[in-house]
Amino acid sequence: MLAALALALCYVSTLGGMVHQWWTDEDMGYGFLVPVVIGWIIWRERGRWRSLPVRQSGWGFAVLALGSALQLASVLGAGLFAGALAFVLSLTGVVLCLFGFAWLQAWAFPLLLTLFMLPKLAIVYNQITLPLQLLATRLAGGMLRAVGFAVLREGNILNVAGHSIAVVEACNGIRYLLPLAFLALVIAYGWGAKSWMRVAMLGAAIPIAIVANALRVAFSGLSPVLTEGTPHALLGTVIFLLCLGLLAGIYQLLALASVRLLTRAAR
Amino acid sequence: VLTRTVGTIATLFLFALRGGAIPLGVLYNNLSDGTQTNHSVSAVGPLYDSFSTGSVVTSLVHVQLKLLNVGPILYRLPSETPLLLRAGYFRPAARVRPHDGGGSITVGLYADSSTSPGALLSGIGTLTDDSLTTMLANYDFPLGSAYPLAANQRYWIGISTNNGSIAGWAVAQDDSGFGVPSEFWYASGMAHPNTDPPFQMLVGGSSNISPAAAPSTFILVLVGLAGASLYWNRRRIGTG
Repeated sequence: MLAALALALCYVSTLGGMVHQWWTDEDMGYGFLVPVVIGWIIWRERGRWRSLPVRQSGWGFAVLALGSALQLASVLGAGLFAGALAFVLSLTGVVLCLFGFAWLQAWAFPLLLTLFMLPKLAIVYNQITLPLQLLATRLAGGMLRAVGFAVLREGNILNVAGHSIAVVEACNGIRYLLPLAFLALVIAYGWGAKSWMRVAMLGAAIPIAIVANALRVAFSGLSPVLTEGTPHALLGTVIFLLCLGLLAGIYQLLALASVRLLTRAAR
Repeated sequence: VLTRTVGTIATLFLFALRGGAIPLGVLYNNLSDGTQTNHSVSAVGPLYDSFSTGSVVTSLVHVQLKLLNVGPILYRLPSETPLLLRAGYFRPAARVRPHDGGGSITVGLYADSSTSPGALLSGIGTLTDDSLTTMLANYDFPLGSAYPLAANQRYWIGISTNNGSIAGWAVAQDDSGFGVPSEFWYASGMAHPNTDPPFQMLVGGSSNISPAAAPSTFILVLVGLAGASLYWNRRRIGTG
């Protein structure tokens, strides 16, 4: 408890910066829910990790030193992302120092999920935003044309039957990609999926998010009513739920494949 | 327990939906960034910050600037002041001019001239010194009538004074924010890229083109978790 308090004190400005970004940036708003889910997973697994032997490891100090160096770099100007990464590293170091590798292994999945709390890395985000916007515009235009609508595309603007829709920065698909990747891992964990299945579901979340975002843009292009306010938010949410359903289907296929492989191996 | 959980999640969903409005027509916004310093309009002004319109034709509707009262400024003696009279001004109490609220700043929209501010296109508003406080605050300058902006064009928002205003314009910690990278700011007669952190402002436009922004990720994950927990519960009851 004291170690957790000391860690929180050392990183109070970083944690404040992360919370500020979750509060102000709608791309990162789900950050508030990540610690809740992590807490739930740790609580759910309490029977497993409580029974593990405590073997403190000196390697924890090396990880802590690495985290501290990164935090120093963050304070000297490397930015919030470096500070947040330093926090995750220090957290890992504390677990190693106080409880050892067996506990780290037991907490590996919740620690991995902390990566979803990290702020956006501006250098990457700025590079991928425009290509993703253009991809969403192109895909949405193609979908509308495929079902018989006349579409005029100009850059990131779609004109469908006299109604124009702009695929702005907030439509680039990141708002589907990050939550869907996070939920893919959490749902796979909840269903007791093996590690390779979790990785496969994470991989599947990427194309699903991109295509679903384009589908959302295409629907928005059909009617001005669907571009603003509650109908627009509901449309986005319903399509997101369909993505989760698709992920559930992919999980079922993976589970079936896993069972067949095991059966074949047993023969 | 299940009913209570679903009820709580539904309430949170409605709350998030209420606060999840997408800002329409924002062309530039770094007001929520941290502030590292400020520049005095009297000392290094006039001050300008650029923004660009992109491919969407829009109109300038309002501007918000993060400003403050930078406090007393050193009194500058006129060059023709007789030497004997100058001595009196070096007494500490006389070296500063009290900021009596007599000054003011003028905010305007300027054209671009080779990545420097060009001709004044439209006056946006004025602000007198007595409206400013020593704490940073956002000051809103709504336009009486929307000013049409061309697509894919750079413009500048500038503040100037001709009566020694004590206004200072906040400088951000970095070049993050909507529409901020690739723009420029201007002070002491020189333009700088926004990689040297720029001034803090919000430029609001209106457009007849609807943005198709996705819902907040908070809502999406909340709904996803609610759906997953309902499914797990149903499966547990089914198998239990």
